[in-house]
Amino acid sequence: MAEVRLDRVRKSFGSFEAVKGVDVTIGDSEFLVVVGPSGCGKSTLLRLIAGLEELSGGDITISGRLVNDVEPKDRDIAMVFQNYALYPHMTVFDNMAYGLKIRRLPKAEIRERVGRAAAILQIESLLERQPRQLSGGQRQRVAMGRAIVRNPSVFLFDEPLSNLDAKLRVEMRVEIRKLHNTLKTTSVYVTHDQVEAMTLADRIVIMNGGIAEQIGTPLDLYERPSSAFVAGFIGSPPMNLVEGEIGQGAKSVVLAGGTELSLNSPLPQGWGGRSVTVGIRPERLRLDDSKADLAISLGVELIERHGADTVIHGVLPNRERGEVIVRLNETPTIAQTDRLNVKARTADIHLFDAETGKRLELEKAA
Amino acid sequence: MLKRVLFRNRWLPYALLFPQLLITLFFFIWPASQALVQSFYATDPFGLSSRFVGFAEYTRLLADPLYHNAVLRTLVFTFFTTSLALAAGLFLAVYADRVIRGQNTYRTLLIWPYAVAPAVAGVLWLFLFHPTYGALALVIRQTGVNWNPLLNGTHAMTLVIVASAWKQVSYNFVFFLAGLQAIPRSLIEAAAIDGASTFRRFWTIVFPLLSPTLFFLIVINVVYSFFETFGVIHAVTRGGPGGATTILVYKVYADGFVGLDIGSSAAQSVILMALVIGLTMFQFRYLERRVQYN
Repeated sequence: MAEVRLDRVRKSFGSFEAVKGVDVTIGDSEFLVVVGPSGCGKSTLLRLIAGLEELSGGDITISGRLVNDVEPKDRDIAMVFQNYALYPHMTVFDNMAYGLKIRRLPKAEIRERVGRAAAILQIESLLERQPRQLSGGQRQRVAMGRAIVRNPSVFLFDEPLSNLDAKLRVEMRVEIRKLHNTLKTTSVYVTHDQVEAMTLADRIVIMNGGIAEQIGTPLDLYERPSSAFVAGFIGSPPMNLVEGEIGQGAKSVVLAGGTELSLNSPLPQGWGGRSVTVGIRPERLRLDDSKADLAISLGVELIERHGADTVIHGVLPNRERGEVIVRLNETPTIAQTDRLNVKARTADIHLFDAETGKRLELEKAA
Repeated sequence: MLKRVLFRNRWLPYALLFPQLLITLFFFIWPASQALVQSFYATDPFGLSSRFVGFAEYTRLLADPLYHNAVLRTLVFTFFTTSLALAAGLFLAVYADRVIRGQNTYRTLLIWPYAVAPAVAGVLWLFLFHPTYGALALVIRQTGVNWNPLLNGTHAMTLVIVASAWKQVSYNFVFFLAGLQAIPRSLIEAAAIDGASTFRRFWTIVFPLLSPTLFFLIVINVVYSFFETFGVIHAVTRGGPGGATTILVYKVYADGFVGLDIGSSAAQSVILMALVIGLTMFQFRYLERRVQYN
């Protein structure tokens, strides 16, 4: 069991700065997910923790020990790679036993440990097979098994599910989380899939351009995104982000296209006329809500009926780019009508500075 | 694994194969069959008369102690040339694979020796190691060794082995480097995290994954040592001193064109041909089994 601490961690490749100073402490037995679009530096961050890349600046400590100059093998970590990285010329058993043999464990103990890990992952019947005789999901399990047998203090996962088909990915996601609940090993998990991040994580680090945009629990990120980037990345379908302006007198927000939303609690006086990005989650828009105080009129473009819910793609009046998605967990009997009135509550409105993209706190203002 | 192509016109595939078949016919089938026929005849040195003798040339050859010596010498020569060329090629490839800056320069320089003609390579090495004017021979003599590849058979053999291996190192280097680069980096990284040292990673992960390449190169290098080292030997030692560097392929030439024993020379070349065909079939048979990386 271990705590991993990253302190102003930086990494440059030549003149390109992949990681620009990340601070995060991963608590003992925490499951931390690092999520972000491709090229945001999330994999580099993981490789820095593993010791596969050399730090350009900052410190990494594992269980209180500074590991900046410690070889990967001495960091007491195990890593699951995106392509599984199974040794193709060894059987499943030998793949899992490789690290133990190097550590010169007695043969009986190696057999016992591999057997136990294989039982947990339900791959006992595969131990004599070669990796090429396995399906994608089975290889994934073996790769996890190889990590488990070493009983490391930290697990590192580098997009382990991205080579699996959608159905298997959901299954394995559940298994990984169950496994963590059993083993309680500190884990760092890198993915570009926000659904994986939301479902697996105790806490999420969302990265963008080498910076940690926000660190928090999944619900933190969902309820109080610190920037427009986070707001647009977390959630499916993503949060509606519409350009707008705070009205004169700071009592309303005017969306691009002219819709004016009057707020029931005024914003600070100085904010009047300020350019903002207005965010509302699709699932917080309602057709009918007695507590709602804001009304938005939309032109309906497309209705997707998913069964459990209905996703409506609409546009703001006089505006081509101002697309607004509405997600309803009912199946309303609306046709592709011309207009649709949706409602929202003031509390569900997120405001971001139009230039910096940073969140403007409504509560503090109120 | 092989791609199957369907032709609409049934003559087109034959037409496409024709030029290659023609070349094979004129440059291999015809001379090879001539050698086969010749090996059953005893021919006088001037080629004026010949007489059918059946397998007499073969039986005489197989009983000849000089031939036995040549076989033994060929085995020694091949073993050392192949080992040296493979080891040096692998060594250079492993280090070239680690180089990041100036990769292309190193690679180009390492591939150069392959472009040198065998005879030129031979002359070059003789020039460096000639007992009277060789610059490197002087260095060896200063260490107290009475270096003289022109009189000492062991020295002569060492020189042709090193010269022949040197020429083949480039070829091996290219294949080993390609083999190394085909190994996914994550495998090496996984092994590093598993705790394997650089040395151990090489022997337990890299080397086994290179085995198809190694196997292919062993066959190629054996064939090279057997048949393509003629130029080097001819330029450096002419099979001497006292036949000390007369390997089988050189003996074919020496007996046929110098000794004018056409029948024996033909029989020897048929035996060599059978060997190379055997080696090639062996290679095709086992090279099918390739290692898959994922």
